[in-house]
Amino acid sequence: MRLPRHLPGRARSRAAIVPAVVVALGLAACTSGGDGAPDERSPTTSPPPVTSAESYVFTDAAGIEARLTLRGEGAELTVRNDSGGVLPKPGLFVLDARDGVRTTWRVLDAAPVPDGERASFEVERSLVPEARHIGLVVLLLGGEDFGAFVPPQPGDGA
Amino acid sequence: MRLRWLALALAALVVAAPTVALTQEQGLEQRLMEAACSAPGELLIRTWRGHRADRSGDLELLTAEPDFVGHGGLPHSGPWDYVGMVPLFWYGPGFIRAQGEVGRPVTLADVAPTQGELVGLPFDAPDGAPLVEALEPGAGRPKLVVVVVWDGAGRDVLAAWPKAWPELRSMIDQGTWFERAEVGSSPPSTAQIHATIGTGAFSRNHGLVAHTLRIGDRLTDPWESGSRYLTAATFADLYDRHEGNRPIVGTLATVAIQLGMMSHGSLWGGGDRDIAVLREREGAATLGAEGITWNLTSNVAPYYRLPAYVNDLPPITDYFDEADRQDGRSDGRWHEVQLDDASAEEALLTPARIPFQTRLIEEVVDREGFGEDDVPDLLYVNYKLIDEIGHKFSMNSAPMRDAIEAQDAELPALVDLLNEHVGEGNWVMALTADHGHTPDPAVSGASVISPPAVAEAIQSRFDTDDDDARIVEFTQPTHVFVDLDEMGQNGATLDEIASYLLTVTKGEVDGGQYPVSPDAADEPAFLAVYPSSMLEDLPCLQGKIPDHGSKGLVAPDQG
Repeated sequence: MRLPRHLPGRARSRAAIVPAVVVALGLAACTSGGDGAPDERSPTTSPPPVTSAESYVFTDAAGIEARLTLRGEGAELTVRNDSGGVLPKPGLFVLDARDGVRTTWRVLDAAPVPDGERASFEVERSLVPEARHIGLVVLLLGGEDFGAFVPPQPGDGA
Repeated sequence: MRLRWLALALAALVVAAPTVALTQEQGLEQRLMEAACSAPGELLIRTWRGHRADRSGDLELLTAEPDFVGHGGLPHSGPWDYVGMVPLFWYGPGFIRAQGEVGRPVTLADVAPTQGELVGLPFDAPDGAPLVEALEPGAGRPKLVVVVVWDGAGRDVLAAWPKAWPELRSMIDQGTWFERAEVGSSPPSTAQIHATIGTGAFSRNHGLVAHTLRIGDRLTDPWESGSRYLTAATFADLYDRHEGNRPIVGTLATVAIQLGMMSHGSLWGGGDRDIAVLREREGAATLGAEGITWNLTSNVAPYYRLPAYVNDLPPITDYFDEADRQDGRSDGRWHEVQLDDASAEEALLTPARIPFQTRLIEEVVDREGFGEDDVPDLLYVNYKLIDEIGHKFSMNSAPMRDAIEAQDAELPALVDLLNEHVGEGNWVMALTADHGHTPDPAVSGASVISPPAVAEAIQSRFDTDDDDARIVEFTQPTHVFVDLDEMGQNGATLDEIASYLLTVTKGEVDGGQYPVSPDAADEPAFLAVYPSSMLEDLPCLQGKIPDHGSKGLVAPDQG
């Protein structure tokens, strides 16, 4: 694994952190479909917002798969590493859907994930944003931004 | 006694050795910083705004203007004014002041916060602020705000052909024209600057740093995974959700890398699938590769909505007569393109694509109901002919003149259709460009540095371990991506590579496509080369970055 490059360290963040209550596995698959086919409908109004996304999926061409499941006031992060190298310890931040403000979610006892293995971590969520106000959840590895998780999509039944 | 002296001398050497080594290292770093700081400050600030340690290249390359690093088609990548200064014109009777030129320096990060003021949802953008001097005090909300990008039509391009855009020029006094607008960051190319328009943030904060960026160990493109690498909010993300997804939000453009000016679509929590109509080839080898059918590629299709009717509109071939006449001769040709025999793809290099796209805009505005109710809608448009011509023929070519003329001539048609469908006095338009273009080296006298030649110079000097791995992963016009592990295995450092590149001559990295003149062959190829991580510490930037930089950095600090 390449050495992590350091990131600029300033960020707007919200202070209140709530200890997580973490439960077991049992993650729901929730990536969306969408085949690129034209939408036959041309509605003049949009469907209502998704307000109850509880499970997010991250996949990566390098062979990284992560799932984040919100549980109570905490969350669980599971990382599966088939990248061929050790993954640096994971982290998370979220963007508030209402104003875009970034908040760090603390991954407890974050540790590197060896190649070919899967690891689960408890996550401390902040009070703000609440689950219904999450805009993006972003995966960090070794402090580097690997991009956003995919939430359930409208029509997924989330 | 002599032995004692010898022992003391040896001990002194041992103690001194690390100090000497450290001093040499510091001296090397000092020289690289001095070279960097010999560049004009605004170039460094733009570079700093465009850099992210986790995603950008490892070495910064800077040539002395007009020289540039490029290979293949002419690039538009670097911190210079000629690629970074752009038109920014706001028009909207009743909402936008009719005052002509405004001299205050502004950036494209100011576009989104200005949209926020117009529609009544203030947007605290990371790097931008509302252009309040453009706004009529006390005006209500327009029914529609349109952002129009003339891709590649920077100020230098327009200045090269001052008579080619009479329509836009005639409108300046009817709106607010920001005379000193720039994109704000470097390198300026389509993905990152469209994202700046959408997020009010520079690349440093929105994460799309270039058309090749690093995600972990991989080099990839910024929209490989749809909008997942754009890790900052766009204004449309916030506004659409705030209004319960009642606003109609759409982009009518060409390729996915332009979607950053709009939204994440339904990837954003509570967001819906905003309208997106593109023509990108699925799986194309290069970014910006266009197809002829309106579509969404599979990486973006889940998050946006492509209306079904868009491919029922007249094909581009229906506009060949118009293109034929545009260069002043009805001879079945537009410059090199024989229109009678043109494939649809060739037709995309002619003005036929402009009315073809405007017809799409009219249909979508009408059928989707943009501007029909009192909830302001957001429409984003990218016209790409000028950029294509700049890459293919250069900004100094006759096709560029005609491309600008054709684009400009379409402006009244766009205004008319908005007046017809939304109503006169009900809408606002911001017209801008995402970058300029590089002058033809034959015109500018530039020496052109070859990226592959730079890579090979590094390889031959430093990569001596005879394994298959290469120190240089990729060379862009402004960056070198380095495999740090392989570099370390060869006992090299970024400082040493940078220091070496400062000694390389233009003749040594001449790719042959634009041969370096014999007179310039022995001149240094670069004005500055330095490890990107040095940007934060450049003494010439200290005290300047906060004034010109970001209000809220989003890069994480968790390891």
